[in-house]
Amino acid sequence: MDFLSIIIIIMGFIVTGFITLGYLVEAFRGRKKT
Amino acid sequence: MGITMIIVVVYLILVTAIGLYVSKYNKSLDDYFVAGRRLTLWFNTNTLAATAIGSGTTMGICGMAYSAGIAAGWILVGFSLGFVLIAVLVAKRMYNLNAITLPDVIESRFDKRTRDWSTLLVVIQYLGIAAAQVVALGTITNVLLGIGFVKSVILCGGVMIVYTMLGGLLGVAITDVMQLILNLIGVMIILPIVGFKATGGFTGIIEALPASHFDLGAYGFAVTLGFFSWIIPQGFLSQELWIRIFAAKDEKVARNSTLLASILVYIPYMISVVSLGLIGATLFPDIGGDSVLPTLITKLTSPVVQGILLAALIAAVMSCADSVLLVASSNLVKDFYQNVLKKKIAPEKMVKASRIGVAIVGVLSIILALFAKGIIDIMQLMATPYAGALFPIVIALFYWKRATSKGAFLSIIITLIVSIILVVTKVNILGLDPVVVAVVVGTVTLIIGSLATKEDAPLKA
Repeated sequence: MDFLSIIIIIMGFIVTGFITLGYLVEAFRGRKKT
Repeated sequence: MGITMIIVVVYLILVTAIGLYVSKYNKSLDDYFVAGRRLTLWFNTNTLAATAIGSGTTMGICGMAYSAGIAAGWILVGFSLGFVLIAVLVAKRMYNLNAITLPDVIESRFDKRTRDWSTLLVVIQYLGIAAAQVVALGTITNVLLGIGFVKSVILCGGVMIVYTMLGGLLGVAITDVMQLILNLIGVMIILPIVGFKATGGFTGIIEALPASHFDLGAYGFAVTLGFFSWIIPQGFLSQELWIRIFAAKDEKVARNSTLLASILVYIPYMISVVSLGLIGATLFPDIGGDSVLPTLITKLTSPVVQGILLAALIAAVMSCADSVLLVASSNLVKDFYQNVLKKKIAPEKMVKASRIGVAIVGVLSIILALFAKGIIDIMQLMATPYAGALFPIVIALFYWKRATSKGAFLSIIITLIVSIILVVTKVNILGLDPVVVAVVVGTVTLIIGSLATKEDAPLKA
């Protein structure tokens, strides 16, 4: 696999990870507050 | 029952259970349609992105990239620009209106007559979109599971109606989070890995496809500009995006979640989708554009992964369709029943009335999808006067103090007449899309009508 393909796959991991973690952290904080 | 079907059925049971679980939190109209105006930044970003990513954006752009190459990416630029315009120009102001529907926003500045006529455009347009989404859901489920169109519409459409009816926007937003993450794992991680592995990366794609597939100007300047001219007004007037702005916990969340959904999720997602189109064109050059994703899934992955990815595709369509269903029912109950027909509903009965609204729109959409696709096509034509009349009015509402109710009313009527003429006669003016012509007519009549008249009552905003 070449550089561009790897970049696109890494981008997929970053976006999915960022969205999932952001949501989980927010959900956890919300639960803690209540 | 195969493993694929089992995974999809488990997914459908899960979304129904979520709808049932959150139904207890819906005690008022605000709870039901705008999740009590308490959605936080990431929650709102997720639900906005999940709604924007539908069947059109996933299967459609993948198919366009399959046949035309990277120029298909211009459509995603147009949609993203629509998002950014909402975020930068109107999100904060819109949030502070405490509205639920587009006619609410229009009445915040203009008179009741303008609201009622805009309601007519909105109700027909959104009933048409809701029915079209049910058709898309049935078609894709049938392609993926092979259980027949009628069974697909009844199974997935039925599940969608039940969880939307019970859960309202909160139920839709929670299922959106799950649907988005499932979709991202499928489209942005698993499929690119197996696809690039099969083609030998981009090097293999470049060797296999003609140079025209890598030309950003493949559609030509006029066609590309045409995409922008109709995509931006339509994206800007998407009520399913607006309700997320109304549902945010504050005005900063309203603006930032819209920007994040566009820049962090939508643009990278579409880069992956365009890449998958190119992978499909390299590996399977003789299939139709619409079959690219199902073919990649069935040919390149194991049965268990197939089940997850097919559920992800159904999730992408469902997360878009459920929001349209909710918006259409808010237009039916709040704008049409309460405002146009002037029927009173006691506050404690509002949630029940809204659930009945979702059921009516849902069942009507299924009936239209199964028995009268021609009517759906006619209702879809309402997109021309909808965007043409309401885009300039909404922009003027926030940015042009001289705009009057009489000017806005005149703009709606003239644009409606011109749009009907354009659609019926199929006259082509300067090769422009009818939506673009309607927006120009709407803008000119709004300006002339407003300058020639005065507001009877003091401005509301």
